Amino acid sequence: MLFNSYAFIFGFLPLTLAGFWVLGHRRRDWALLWLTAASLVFYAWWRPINVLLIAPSILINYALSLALRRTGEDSPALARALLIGGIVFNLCFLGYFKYLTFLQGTANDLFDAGFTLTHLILPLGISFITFQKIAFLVDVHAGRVKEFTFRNYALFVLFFPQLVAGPIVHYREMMPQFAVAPCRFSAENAAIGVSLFFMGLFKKLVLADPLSRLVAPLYAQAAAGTPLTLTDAWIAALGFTLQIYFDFSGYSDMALGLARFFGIKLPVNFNSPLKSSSIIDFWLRWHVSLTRFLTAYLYNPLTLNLTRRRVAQGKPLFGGRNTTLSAFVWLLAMPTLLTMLISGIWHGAGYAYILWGLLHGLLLVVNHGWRVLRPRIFLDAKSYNRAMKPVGFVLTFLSVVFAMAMFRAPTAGSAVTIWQGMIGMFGATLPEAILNRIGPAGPWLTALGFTPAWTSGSFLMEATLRIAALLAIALCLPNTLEMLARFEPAIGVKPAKQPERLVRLLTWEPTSAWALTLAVVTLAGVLSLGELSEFLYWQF
Amino acid sequence: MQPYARFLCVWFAALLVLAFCVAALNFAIDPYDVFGSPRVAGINAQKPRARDHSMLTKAYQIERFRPATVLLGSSRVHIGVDASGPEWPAAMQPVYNYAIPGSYNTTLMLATLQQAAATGRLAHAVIFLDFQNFFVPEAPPGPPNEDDRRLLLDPSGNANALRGYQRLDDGFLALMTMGALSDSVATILSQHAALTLDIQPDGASTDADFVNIARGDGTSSLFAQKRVFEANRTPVLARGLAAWTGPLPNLGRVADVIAFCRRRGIALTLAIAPTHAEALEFYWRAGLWPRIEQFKTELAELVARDGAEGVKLWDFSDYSSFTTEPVPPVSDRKTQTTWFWEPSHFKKPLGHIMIRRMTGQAAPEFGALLTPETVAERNRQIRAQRQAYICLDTANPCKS
Amino acid sequence: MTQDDILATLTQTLRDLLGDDEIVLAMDTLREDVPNWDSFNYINFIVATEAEFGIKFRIADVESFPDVGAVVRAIERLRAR
Repeated sequence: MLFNSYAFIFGFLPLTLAGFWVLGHRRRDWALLWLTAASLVFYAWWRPINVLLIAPSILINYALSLALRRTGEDSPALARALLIGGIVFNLCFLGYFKYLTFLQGTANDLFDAGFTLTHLILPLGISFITFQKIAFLVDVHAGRVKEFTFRNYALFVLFFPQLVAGPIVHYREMMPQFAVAPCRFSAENAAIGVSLFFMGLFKKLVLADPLSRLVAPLYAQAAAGTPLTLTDAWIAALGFTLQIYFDFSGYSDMALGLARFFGIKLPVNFNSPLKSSSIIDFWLRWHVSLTRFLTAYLYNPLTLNLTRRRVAQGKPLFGGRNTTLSAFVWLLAMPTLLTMLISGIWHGAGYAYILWGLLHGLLLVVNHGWRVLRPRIFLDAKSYNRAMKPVGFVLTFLSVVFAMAMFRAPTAGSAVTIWQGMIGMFGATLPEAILNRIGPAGPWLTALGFTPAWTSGSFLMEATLRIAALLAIALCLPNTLEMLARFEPAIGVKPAKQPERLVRLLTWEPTSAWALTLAVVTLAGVLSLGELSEFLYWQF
Repeated sequence: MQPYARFLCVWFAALLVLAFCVAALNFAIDPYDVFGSPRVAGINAQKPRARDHSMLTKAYQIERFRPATVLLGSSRVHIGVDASGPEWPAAMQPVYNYAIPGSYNTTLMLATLQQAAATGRLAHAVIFLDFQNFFVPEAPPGPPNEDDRRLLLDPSGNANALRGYQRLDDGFLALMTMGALSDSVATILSQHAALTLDIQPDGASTDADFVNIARGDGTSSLFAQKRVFEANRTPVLARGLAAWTGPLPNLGRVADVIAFCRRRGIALTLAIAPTHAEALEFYWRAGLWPRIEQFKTELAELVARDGAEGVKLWDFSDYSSFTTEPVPPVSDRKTQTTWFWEPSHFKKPLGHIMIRRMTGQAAPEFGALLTPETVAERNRQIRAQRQAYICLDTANPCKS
Repeated sequence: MTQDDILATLTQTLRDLLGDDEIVLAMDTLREDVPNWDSFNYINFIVATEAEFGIKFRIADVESFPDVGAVVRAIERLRAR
């Protein structure tokens, strides 16, 4: 069931909440069981077979966790074997559904293997669910999670606000909340919940989706091998960047709001990433829970082991002014590239996703490399930071936009076509109607190499206006986490000690003015429900 | 009341009030003419946004209008043929223009004819055919989409069981969507423009879109855009037809239309729509001319075989003085043409002449009735017309 | 070895690593409290500490040390084995 559907907003959600609150007045555990059952219905809505696919995996994972808990301290070797077995099982489960077809295709491409492609139903949200289950097994193995029951485990896995597209949560941050949640109607939680949910719906339907209709034909054009002119290529790249930005931002807000109805806070997942002034910063703001997962369960164990090995060999370490090239390559570049490669593969089975991951890995390596080199070149860190922050912002923004073209393009080749267009390799045109109407700028642009084209000017006008407006929102306005900071909209969010003027001005409060504003935002979102579209992150 | 509870109450109450206001506004303005709300001058007399929902708008309009004569065709008929006016004989009035701009095809031709007939008073059908629609085989109709579901009859001609649900859906779309709201606002704002696009209650269109482009960028730019379009399209059509043998695609749908009219006692006039010579040249160059001649021959035979007396076939696709009207050069943004907006869209005066010709009234010599006996001679004449046309062009060595 | 002894050793290790003699670690010190103690230096610190005490942390523990006190307690536990 999509968050942005009539059935969800007018059917599923009110019924689930009503049942939860009514049962919660009698007994809390009934309410939590009801929530688990409702989540199952939510998951089964689109394709009931999804439940049959995911249920065995849940049962096996639960059994493994029980076994892990029992062996625990007594026999570390067995526990380790169980953990590795569990991780391998989950990765194979994901791999079978998500990557089998891709691997067959690749084998056919490379070795002419002649596999018939198997087309499988991809269980909804399997990539997110798999990571969450792996994190749980690791946590049990580490002894970070000791008390758990099947009911709690099922609720943790199935809790519908974060079931299909994250955030990727930890058992240890969720279950203590469920353990104390009152399961009763709370006007405060409901007010914050509707605010977050409908602001998210607005972002998704009113801000993001119209861009999708603008850029889709451009990517189709690139996929068909038709070159894109300068303006079209930039509209494709910028347009998609902003589309996925508001799509994911909106989804994350809606997930936070939904969980809040039940008195639950989810972790931060999206924090104005386009305001980043470095790629490292970008990944601490974009899909935060994925970065957190990959850092904790992949990157850190990897670097820890590599560092131990270098220490044993007596080689220099990474860090500070004494960093050597070999330490940089082995302790930073390799783990970073590997992590981002896996991040790319996780997003989708396709060369374009893999290249996108590697590209971001490369950008991160350059970013880290510069952090090591910079103090050797610019000694005054303070004045450097002041002067270079805007440069860092522009470089980061352009890198992200270029990389997004690879993320969206149906094939890696078509992304290259878009890149070529963006650097002007296919020429620059402007609709004749526009060149004629912009006065002295017309001849000037013509001198710069823009040629008139017999295309409609309205497309360019609409795209430019939309992109400019959305960029302004993404870069200048405070985000929902800042607006609601006083009410801890996500785990650990606190108000800034000295908030900026705009943040102070737009701070959410339970006033009539905000209620009226939210009513307009809600209506705009609900009126836009007619044009159904999926969240981009629901496909991963 | 504590602040959060008050917040929720204010939010919910405001939401209900706002939603009601939006529905009321959309009902009153009725941007797609679904409800038939009164057209008030200065507020919603013209409905510019109906153009993008013409299937929706026209299905509802025609049910209210209940015409004696229906005009069918693509955007060319939508823009180029008036439904009201002295050209129409009293016996044929009222006339409804049920031409569909956008992706017109022969499946749509039959569906719109059935809808028109189901409104109860239909006695005449005037259907314009575009030869391009017979150069690409149409996919067999899929499961009914919303445009099919709202019609009075299903494809096999029985009462449509899905209609009630679809009408609810349409009402919802026209009242409670962002699109409807922004279209209502746009409708109000556009009323004071000198010329506003509209689908009038009789289905005919004001040609504000073409008038504005022709005045702003010049007719020459309209022709230039279409040149690019045809230069791209004609080779594709030719490639698709290269290996085609036997009768042209989709002619069976015309046979269905003829059969339907015979069953219902509807007098049918078919007309091959005129195209400006400049576009016809692209077809000539792509080697499609024999296919156009084949189309006319097969159509004449089909009409003679199935149609008997009730069906007439007119051919307006030629190289006459109307279709060879000179086109202003690209540098000229001022000069306006008399008969064509651009190569495929003719202007209303040409539409008037065709109506007069087809209804047997006095009119300039244009077009001809096609029968199996006359079609060969007609094809030969047009080739001669073309030869004369290309020799007018001084840059042309006049050899082909 | 008392907790204070361990803390003193950890403080010296981190001072050497970051080249900052102002650092004083306490049981409730957080990583954010120490300037430049980023995730790379954290890993280096952990490995240096392992070498110092002749122990090996569990990877999962490394990830979830909430504060310096947790590191100290883990060292105590591992040395007691």
